[in-house]
Amino acid sequence: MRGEPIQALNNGFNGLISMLRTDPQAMDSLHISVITFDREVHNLVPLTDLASFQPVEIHCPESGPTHTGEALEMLLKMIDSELVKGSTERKGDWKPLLFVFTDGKPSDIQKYRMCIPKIKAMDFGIIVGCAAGPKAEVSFLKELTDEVVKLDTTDSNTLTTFFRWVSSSIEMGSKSQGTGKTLTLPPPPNELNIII
Amino acid sequence: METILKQLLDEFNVEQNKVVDNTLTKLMHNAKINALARDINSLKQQIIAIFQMYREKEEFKETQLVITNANAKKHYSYSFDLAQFPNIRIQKIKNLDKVGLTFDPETSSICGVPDMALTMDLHLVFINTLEENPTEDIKIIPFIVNADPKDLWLNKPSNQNDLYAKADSDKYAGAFLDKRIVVASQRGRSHAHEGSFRDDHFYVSALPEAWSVVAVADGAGSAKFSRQGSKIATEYLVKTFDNEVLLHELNDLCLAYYTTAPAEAVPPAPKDDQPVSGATTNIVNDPIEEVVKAEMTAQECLLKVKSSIINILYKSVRDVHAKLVEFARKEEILLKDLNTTLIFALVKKIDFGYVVLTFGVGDCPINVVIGDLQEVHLLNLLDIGEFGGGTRFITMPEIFSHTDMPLRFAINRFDNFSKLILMTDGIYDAKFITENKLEDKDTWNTFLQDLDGQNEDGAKVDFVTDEHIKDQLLTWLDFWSKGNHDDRTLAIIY
Repeated sequence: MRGEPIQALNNGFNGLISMLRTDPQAMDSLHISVITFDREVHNLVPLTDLASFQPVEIHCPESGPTHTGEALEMLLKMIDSELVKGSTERKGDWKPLLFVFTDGKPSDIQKYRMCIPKIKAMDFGIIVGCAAGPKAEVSFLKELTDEVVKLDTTDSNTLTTFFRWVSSSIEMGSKSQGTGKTLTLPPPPNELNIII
Repeated sequence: METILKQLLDEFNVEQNKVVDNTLTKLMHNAKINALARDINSLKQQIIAIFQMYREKEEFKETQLVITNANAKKHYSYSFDLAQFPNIRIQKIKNLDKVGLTFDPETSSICGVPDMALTMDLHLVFINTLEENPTEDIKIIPFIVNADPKDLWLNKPSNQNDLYAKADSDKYAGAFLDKRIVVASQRGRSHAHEGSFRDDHFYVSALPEAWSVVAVADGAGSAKFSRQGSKIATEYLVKTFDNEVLLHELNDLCLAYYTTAPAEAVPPAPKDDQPVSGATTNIVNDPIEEVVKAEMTAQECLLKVKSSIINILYKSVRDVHAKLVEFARKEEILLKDLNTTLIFALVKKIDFGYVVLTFGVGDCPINVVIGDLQEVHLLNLLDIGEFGGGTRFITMPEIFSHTDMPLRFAINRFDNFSKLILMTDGIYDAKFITENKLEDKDTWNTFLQDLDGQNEDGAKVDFVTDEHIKDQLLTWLDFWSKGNHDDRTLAIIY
């Protein structure tokens, strides 16, 4: 991803943060961690509360492999150490929400597939896969989650719409629900194609 | 010296040959040339110094400076770390006064209390102190002032023309046996923000045979019509007990339970006001000894009485579930759309104290306070998941088949109590936070003092002169607690 699409992604993502900042519930409770994955996997922004979150700029190399599996592996480790589970002495975090955004397909497919059952066992509130642009392959994301959105284009309008929907999905994450149940996502706007 | 001359010849395209070499050798010791060369060097130094000066400025401009976010109405201070740029001095920051912050160039720090939320670009006006006549330059950095979450909450009324509309708050005060009860229920800020309904509900009623009941339910935030689920659960539960024959039978059973109980059958060292937890205690292991046979019979008898009591309660709870199933079917909605927790206390005063029968599914506690906090007990099993908001509901069929079902019921008797309290998690999450605090006397002491007006709003619930108590409790429910904006319902029998 480069040129206009990456610019649009950055604008869209930072726009998402601005949108969330106006939501009092999110301001009180939301924490965000950003992992970027290409040839290298980085925890670009370690888990940060929304009030302290700084605008970020995501860079993408012009070519090379996409290490989605390694990113999931990093995520698993981070969840293990950062997520607070409730007990009689400690208040638990809300269920974490996972959004995987890619414009390609995993190059480390074996590792990717190895991580999937572990991710699924993590009890995320929701996992949303987003395949952005013409080269993004939906089938791999479908292995990870049923909730896959395809963006045909990666212009700034589409991305803004997408992130607005992400924002409303995040707001769903702080409501009481049955244990072990997953969230129902708000209906996506027409621009987004939900893959069944 | 020689280098300078050679560079100069290169610059002027003077070809190197023997004549040129000879000339160079002669000029090496020429005083005038040497003086000029020194001047050139000194001029170069000056140029490079100016270059470095400008470079430092450009580098400062390019460096990513992260300045921590401020929060509206909260004191803010930030010092720029300029160790990397020893000669850079920030003179002033434009735009900063827009949010009510000031900048001190001496300490390179910003401080003050921002008065409003804003996302903007700060213009840092800076100079390089090495410059003789410093010229100002500008570096732009983004700056975020977060809103005070209190200012972000909207209070939109719910649409009273919608299906299963419900008032945004409710309150009640009245008699409860020979005591009084006050209940208030307030829509949470998270619902008010979206103009959605209060999902909590409560119902209080006096019943035949001198019983009284209070039921409280918390509809799930994630369920579409949970406001109706909680209404049905509480109202129908009370209805199932509005039955003279049933309550008469319950009278007899409770009397039997507390009069035929052999000393050994209640938990060790039974104190009168110690709760005898309902279904778990008194279940005997297989006694082998003949000696214990008589006692065994008494225990068996007790167990039988107990299970009869619990069966009556169980049937009511089962009926509530069935009612919800029927409602969902009739209205062609999903049962889970009605997801709601339910707690209730069915109470009667008898010759030797108060019999308190309780049930709970979900994360809403029922507590009893004895005397001046001599004792405090949690009377029900709480369903609190590993994650925030995770719980169980009366609408879930699986709770009825689960082995912990009997644990949800409790039979207790107290000589007296000063308060019997039922609350939804909107109160519990904010004031008790974790389950282990529900039997912690210090936490309860703070909670009771809080009710007595020791809070930042000075909101007091006066249990002595209780003329306006229901309004006072409703006002008290409006307390501020970061991250806790769910519906709040609190019922207190006092």
